[in-house]
Amino acid sequence: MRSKASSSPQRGLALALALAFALASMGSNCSDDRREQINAGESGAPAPTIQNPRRIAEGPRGQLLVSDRRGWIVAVDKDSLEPVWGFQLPQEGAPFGVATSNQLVFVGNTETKNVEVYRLVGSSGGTTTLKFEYNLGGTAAGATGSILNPISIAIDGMARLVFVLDGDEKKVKIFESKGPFVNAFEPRDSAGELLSPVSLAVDETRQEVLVGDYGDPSGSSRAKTPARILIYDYDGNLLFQINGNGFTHWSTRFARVQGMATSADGRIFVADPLGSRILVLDRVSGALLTELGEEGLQPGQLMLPLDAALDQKTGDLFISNNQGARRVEVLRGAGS
Amino acid sequence: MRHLWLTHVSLLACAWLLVIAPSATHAQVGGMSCAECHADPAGGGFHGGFRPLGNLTEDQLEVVCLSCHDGSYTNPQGVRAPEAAVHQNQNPGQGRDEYGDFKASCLDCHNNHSGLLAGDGITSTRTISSPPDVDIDEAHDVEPTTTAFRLKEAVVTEASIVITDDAGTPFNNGSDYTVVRINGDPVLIEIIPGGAINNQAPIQVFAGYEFATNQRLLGARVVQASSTDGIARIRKPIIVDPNGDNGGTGNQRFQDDFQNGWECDGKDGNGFDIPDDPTCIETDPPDAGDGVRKVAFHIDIYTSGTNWARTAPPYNGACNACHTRTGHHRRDDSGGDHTHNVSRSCDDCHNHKDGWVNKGG
Repeated sequence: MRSKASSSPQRGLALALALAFALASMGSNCSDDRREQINAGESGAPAPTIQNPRRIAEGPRGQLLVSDRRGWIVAVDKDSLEPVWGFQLPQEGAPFGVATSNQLVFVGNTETKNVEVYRLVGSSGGTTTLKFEYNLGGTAAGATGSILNPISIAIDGMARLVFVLDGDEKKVKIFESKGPFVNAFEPRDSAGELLSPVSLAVDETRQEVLVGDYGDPSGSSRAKTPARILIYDYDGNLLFQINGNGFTHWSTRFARVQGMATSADGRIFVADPLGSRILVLDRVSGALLTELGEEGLQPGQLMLPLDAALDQKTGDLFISNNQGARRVEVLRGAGS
Repeated sequence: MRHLWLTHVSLLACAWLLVIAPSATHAQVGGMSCAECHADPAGGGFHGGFRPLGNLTEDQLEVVCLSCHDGSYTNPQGVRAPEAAVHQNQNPGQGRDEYGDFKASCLDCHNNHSGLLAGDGITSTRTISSPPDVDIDEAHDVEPTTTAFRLKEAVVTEASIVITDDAGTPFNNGSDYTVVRINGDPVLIEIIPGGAINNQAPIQVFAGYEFATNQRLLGARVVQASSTDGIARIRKPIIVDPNGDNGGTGNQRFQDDFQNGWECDGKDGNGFDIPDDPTCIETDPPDAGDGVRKVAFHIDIYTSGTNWARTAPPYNGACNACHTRTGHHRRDDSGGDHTHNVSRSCDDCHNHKDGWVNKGG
């Protein structure tokens, strides 16, 4: 049931084709060091700020990386929650999904329609340097890739797989972290419906992909379908489905679902953008275990949270808070 | 009981919109149902937790809109919700100090119960707006004081509330308005205007008090800042029938009823005028480029033109509504500071995804 992606019968051919395409198109671009990197407090450089935070991911050296709609990836210190350094995409850049693995930073750029991969090549004198490496799927830097709207990215570092939710194609696309395409699947529900996926997370422990889906509350073309969380194995086989309020009951108490994080003991931490809070659910039963956070405009309060990241060691839960204080918030020990 | 009554009224209004409203409603275009905006995330779902949005603050309303318009949502029919950001002045390094905490919230430019909400560059849409909650003319000279219906350090009882017409003549509690709620610190006061208030304009509320943050009244909202006279003026409930024509007929029906309270006609003589609508503020002088211009705009498929800035009378594009008096106003006539990129559309350089921030430096 929980076979790895490598067992997919389509994978070999797809991998070979993708790899060939990648090698053909990457060669002249791997040395492209066109991205500007700016450090907070660096002489003459504007300090990076977070103004429109979207996704959040574990970063290097005890930091978090936050994608900011204005074209920035901003590193945030986990203790102070203050920006440490920032990285500005090209002028047309609009990062959404973001993830890191082994000094690589994966940025879903919704303007160039690529997942751009950068390497952290060092830090000296207060300067952190990032270098553009390649686009997932092998497209050239700046070219339109095989990902139309990379709104959410997650990584299985052990399996070295990168999972990208393409919001336009409504597909989960899987790549090797080095770039080649592996597989893709449509996140359909138990009735075979493909509705409105908006977010994605990976449970490395169980090798599962979690997809947050707004459902179809209008009922315009089918029965009303609440927001839900769909859980798949790496081959795209649906394992569990956790429905939201369903309009007639409120067992799980979410009407929208955005970014998610998972804990080793099977809890799912869900950013509820409409309720401005974090819901903690049991992954199997879907039961609501607790609600976290308080709605408000001040630091420490939530308003339109779009993502959550759990520090597995400390249990600290970090939240990308898009409105209100517009910064990274933390619930210390909430995931312990 | 009042809450229950309000819920019923809201549900009826919602049903009315879905049943009667023309095919261009937001709900139908977006494939949306009432529940997508009105389901109370904390109260038990649609049937058990209908949430009248008039109770919400601007920030909470923005969450309702942005929870779909954040760039991540594509509906089951494959329509991606246009990405949007709030037009505001709080972003460090991007704002202009003279505007202070200015913000134009979603409903300052969009009528969520109207037809299609304006998309970037789309002209065949129905866009209804009102002046924002700030006197834009004042904002250019001094940082505006904010306006609201939360009162600082005030002891407010129902008996102490005085609502008057613009001449200071009080309305009657009960027949002209109903007090819904008084609570909180700062004090939140909600009323439902009705009766004579519906045909009077503007309306003064709580003259002389200091107003704190923006706060919408239930079914009503601020239309003029208190920055100059300490008076907030409110507009009518969303769903009323001021002309007493039971909805009228044809296009007139939803022009003057569905959107009443949110609608300001362009005052351009092209029909659809609502002479008794207190939210329609005449330009001074009408349709001219000079003078104080607290203009509301009304763009629809019948009046044509662009959504953003109109270069011919009646100059009632969305951007014109506030930027007439600024140095960044598109006008084709000469003089003053009305020369900012006169040959270009506003959204050539400013777009909703970035909160209309100037990207051109």
